[in-house]
Amino acid sequence: MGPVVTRACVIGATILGGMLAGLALDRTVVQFPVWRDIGLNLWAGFALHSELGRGVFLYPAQGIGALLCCVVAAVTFYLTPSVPRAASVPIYGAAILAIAALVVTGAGVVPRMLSLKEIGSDPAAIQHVFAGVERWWAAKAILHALTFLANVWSLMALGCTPKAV
Amino acid sequence: MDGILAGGGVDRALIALPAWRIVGPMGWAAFSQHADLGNGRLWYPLWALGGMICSVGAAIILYRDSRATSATRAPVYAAAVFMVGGLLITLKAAPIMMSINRLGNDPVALQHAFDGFAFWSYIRLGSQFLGWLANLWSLVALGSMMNRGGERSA
Repeated sequence: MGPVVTRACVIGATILGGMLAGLALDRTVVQFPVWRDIGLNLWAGFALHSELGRGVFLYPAQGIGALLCCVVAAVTFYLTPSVPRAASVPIYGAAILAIAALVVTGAGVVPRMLSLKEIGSDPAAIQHVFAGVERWWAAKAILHALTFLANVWSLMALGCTPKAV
Repeated sequence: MDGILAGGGVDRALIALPAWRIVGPMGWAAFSQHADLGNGRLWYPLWALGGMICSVGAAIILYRDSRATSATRAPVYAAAVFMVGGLLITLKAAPIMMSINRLGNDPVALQHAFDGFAFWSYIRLGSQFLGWLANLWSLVALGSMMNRGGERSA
């Protein structure tokens, strides 16, 4: 039972974590520089309908789902000695990185995004919020990308080792 | 590579396009001129072409590998088909995106462009997402194939 749960959780974490890494890198590399160029009032308006619209349900579901998969994979891996030990570094690494990403999201991104609902169209306040969000998203993107790489490594380590699960 | 592409694509399909529908085509056009036709001009093709080349390369290598079973071949071939399909559908979406530079501030024309781009984007992103799932399935299947090979040689 343990090995099956470990592998299922690593697959789940790779799917959800890949989605998070993709969107975080897209935001950081492509979108944030654009918002800075075309105007932050448009960003604030768009964010109210995207991240603070449908994103209120999708992003937490993705983030918490990926985190749970990583943590459950690490716990079941620890409790199941028959699972190939070659996967220990990426599985534990993915869990630590996913927790760090949650801390960055909870402490850095979410409070600033929620404050958009209160500050109205004050350009200076929006500029201040945007600068913080952009900085925290960069950290988040790096953590999600590393978590995704660790999960792909875990998947390969679990599958490509003799007597694998 | 496909994971990064699919992640951005899912976000665009489920969050960004519906939000742009509310904000309006003028905002979408202004953003797209700097994003898809700016930084994204290198970023998106990098992942789309890179993922497609890797997927097709894997399918060709496996086609020539006599050890591969149909259970291993299926996801690898499916990934290649979906990734090539995604790129072909981009040929329908890309001209619409390229056209917004010359549409100016005509709200009706921009709304028409947005609707067309959104339509092809949903199909393209769906194909790329399925290609990515097939690639993950391929990783698992190839791992099992290597295990069998290791057990036989042991």
